Amino acid sequence: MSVVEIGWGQLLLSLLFILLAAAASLYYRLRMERDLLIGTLRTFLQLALVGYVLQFIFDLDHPLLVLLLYLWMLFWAAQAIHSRVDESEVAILGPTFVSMAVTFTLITSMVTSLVVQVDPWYRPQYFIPLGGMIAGNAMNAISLSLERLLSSLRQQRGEVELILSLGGNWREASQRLRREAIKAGMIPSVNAMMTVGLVSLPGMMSGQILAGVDPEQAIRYQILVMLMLVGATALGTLIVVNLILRRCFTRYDQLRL
Amino acid sequence: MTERAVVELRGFSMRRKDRLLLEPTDLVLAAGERLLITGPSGCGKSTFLKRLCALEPGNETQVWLKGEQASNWGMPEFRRRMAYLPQTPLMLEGSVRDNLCLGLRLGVYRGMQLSDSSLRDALASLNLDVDLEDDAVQLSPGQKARVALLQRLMLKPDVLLCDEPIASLDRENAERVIQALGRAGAGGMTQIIVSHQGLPNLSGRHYRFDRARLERVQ
Repeated sequence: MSVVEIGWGQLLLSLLFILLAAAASLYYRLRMERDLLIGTLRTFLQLALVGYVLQFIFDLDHPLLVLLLYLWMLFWAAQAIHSRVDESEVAILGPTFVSMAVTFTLITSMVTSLVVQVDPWYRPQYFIPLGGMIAGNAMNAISLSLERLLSSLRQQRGEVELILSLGGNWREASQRLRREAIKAGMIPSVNAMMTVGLVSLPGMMSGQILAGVDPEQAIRYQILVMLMLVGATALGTLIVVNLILRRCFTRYDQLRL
Repeated sequence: MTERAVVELRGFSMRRKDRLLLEPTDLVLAAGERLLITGPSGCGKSTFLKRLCALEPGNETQVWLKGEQASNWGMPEFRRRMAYLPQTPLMLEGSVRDNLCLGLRLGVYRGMQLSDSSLRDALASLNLDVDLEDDAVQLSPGQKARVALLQRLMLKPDVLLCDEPIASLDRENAERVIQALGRAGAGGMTQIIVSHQGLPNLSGRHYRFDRARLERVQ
């Protein structure tokens, strides 16, 4: 089975979809024309750019370039979490970076070396797309659990201080909230396992099928992806919640927030 | 230092941001002694209690409990001995029994047990007509206030810090709470009680907290 290639001319035809949305925006005065224009341009530009970068990296096949791209992704993920979880009392950047780095590195290298058994394990065609999915999902899970942890420590301040005042240490006082924060980060990836294949076909699997890969192989890859993402969200939230929680209390077991 | 001092404050002063809440104050309390503090709302009475047990930062090195600072006791042990009862009592999800025994889940009380009969006696002593299985969150504010008081009394702290213990109670129940505090005091529990309306029938040293000073009232 050969892949039907899309030419640039054909791709321009897909602008019709944007025109449809723009017409709706004009008719209903949604004032989204500007965003549609910028969004479309950025989609073309960013993806074209990333395409060239990937082509370049694949062609050179040098570990140093993989490492650079890995650090680039890591930096932006930590940056995104930092700006999403807007926290002024507790420093979150360090723990966020550590949890992202450990999760990204450990899970991605386990997947490529142990499960897929790519040789070498950092081969960019595998390491980068798989690592990208892991980093993206870990990023979402980490910011979800951080948001939950920090907001519940503030909202449930009475409960935390009640346990502290009875003689509980900071671990005992925050035990329930810690559990809920870790859960909040893990739930999306666990729920995804419940509906996958029933409601939607995941993007990666669809992509592989479109690219002419045997559906059975595509499915095996997708199962691997689902499972590794659960592992990544669990590991990422666990690390970040445990690192941040200690910082939410002073050395006298007082709530810092 | 006095040999029998249970609580001792040395140069205990409080400020919040730029505002002075309390000038440096020295104070010594012996076992079973009771301090009654009145004062206008917003003067810092509640903050005073929270800082005594170091729930709020700022005064950790100005309080001695039986001759030791909080850091020497370790925070769990220090707060176990210096119990704090907030003005608005909070019940956690669960039964009345769960809430009365909340402390027993903590490492610092390892080995301690409370029998159901002792819990029922305690409830009866404060005229609490509730079952141990009842949902604690559903109790009335007045019932919650009394359960919260028992929650602390049953753990037998050296010192009890009480913020407005009778503010939410009717006269009859306020009287019961005062009796319970009286009994605990007679049993050797040192108490510091903050109350805007004053506590009739409860003996103790009376201080007025006003304009950043704690002044003895004769």
